Amino acid sequence: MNNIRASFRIDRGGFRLEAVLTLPGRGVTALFGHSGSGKTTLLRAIAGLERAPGGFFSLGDTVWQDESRNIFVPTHQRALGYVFQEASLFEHLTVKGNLEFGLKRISEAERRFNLAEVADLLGIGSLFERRPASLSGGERQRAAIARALLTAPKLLLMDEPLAALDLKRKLEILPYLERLHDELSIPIIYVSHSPDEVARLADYLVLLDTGKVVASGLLTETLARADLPPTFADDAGVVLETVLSAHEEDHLSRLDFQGGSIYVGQRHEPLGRRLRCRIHARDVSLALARPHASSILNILAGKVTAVVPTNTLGHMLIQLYVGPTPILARITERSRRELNIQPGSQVWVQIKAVAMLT
Amino acid sequence: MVQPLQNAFEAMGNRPLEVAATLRAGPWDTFWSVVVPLARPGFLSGSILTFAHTVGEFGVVLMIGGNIPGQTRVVSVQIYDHVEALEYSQGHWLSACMLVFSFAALLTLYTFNPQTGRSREA
Repeated sequence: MNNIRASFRIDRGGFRLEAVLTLPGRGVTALFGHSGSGKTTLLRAIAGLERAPGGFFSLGDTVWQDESRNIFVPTHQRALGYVFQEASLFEHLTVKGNLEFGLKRISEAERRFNLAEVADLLGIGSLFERRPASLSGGERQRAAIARALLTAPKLLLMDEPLAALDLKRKLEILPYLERLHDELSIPIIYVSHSPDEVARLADYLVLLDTGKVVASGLLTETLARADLPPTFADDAGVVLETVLSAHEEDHLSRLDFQGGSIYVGQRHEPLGRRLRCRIHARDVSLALARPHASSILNILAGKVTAVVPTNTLGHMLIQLYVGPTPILARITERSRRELNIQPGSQVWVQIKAVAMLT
Repeated sequence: MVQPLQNAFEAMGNRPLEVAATLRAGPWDTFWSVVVPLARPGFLSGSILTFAHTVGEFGVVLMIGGNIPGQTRVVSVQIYDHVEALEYSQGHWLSACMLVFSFAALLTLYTFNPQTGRSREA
């Protein structure tokens, strides 16, 4: 297997990072945590920008760091791409000069993309002769991503590439990041503190809190865990991987997932397309009897598996399963008491809103 | 010469070096292809300051070296000689020439280096 294995222990005065991880060698892994949780430090250790004593890192068969055998490959000899949080283009070069900087430092045989392909993928073909100072934040970040890709990395590391951008620029870049995910087979480790970005982009999720790994697992499974609510707080909710299965006449589309199906506003993708959507716990309500006079379209039968308090007083987080698929619901303690909802209860799940992520 | 360069390197920070490393540039490669071009304003203002300082240098030249009669002469020492010999008008002329020359030289340098003096974005 070409799994990624990492083990770092960094002690820096008041801050301590301890991470032992095995990550999938494909898809997007999100390192999620609040500021100060150590996610950037971990990413820098992976890149070799910080040398952790006793650290270990391997990507498939390639060992980049194994201090027990005194191996430490310096950053410039590692086949990785790194996208920094803020624009990091070289100001003394044009966009094209920046893109070629990494490209001309790898051998012909190593090259996987050419300039035109990558420029096309990230929509920066018209910016080649511009200076970084004259670009918008979004354009700079796209150029930085393109520059990293041109070094034919075997691992792409991204440190909150959207954090310094306003919402509009974020929405402008997200589709490009999704394309990276869909069209390239490079594993990506993506640092973020935004639940939305994680839900949209990640396949695998690592939760960090004050330097410790709190959880690590498939995104859909980890988000559905009821024992981690403080991490996401009001953003708790599950991500469903669905298949577009029908376009109906009244401008609705049906999405099937394991255990049921839901209706959403009309989609324009062809049938059979895999779509990802997110159901916030706050958009899910529960009923004991099947509601028959309700305007809510998406009503599913489920079975409660866990009831835990949230960090908002008087609110509970309910984990339930619709078939094999977990869903989270957030209800008040009073409703839970009046409906007597406990693990094992059979309930009707009403989904008020579904956020499409693709 | 050292101080403006040091300022330029400090303003640059570590980030460009790290970026270069992630783009496969080794330490020497990074020095020539990133550090030197980015520190260009520092090199230039360093040169200007050094030049301006040297044109007016007097004490060191007189005391330590460079004042071999008939072989090497420095304008400032020449002015000193004129004053010693009470040739005030020649001294004044020479001072004025020196002032005009320094001004013209600095003006040229600043004109052809628009980055100097402009505040650089971080």
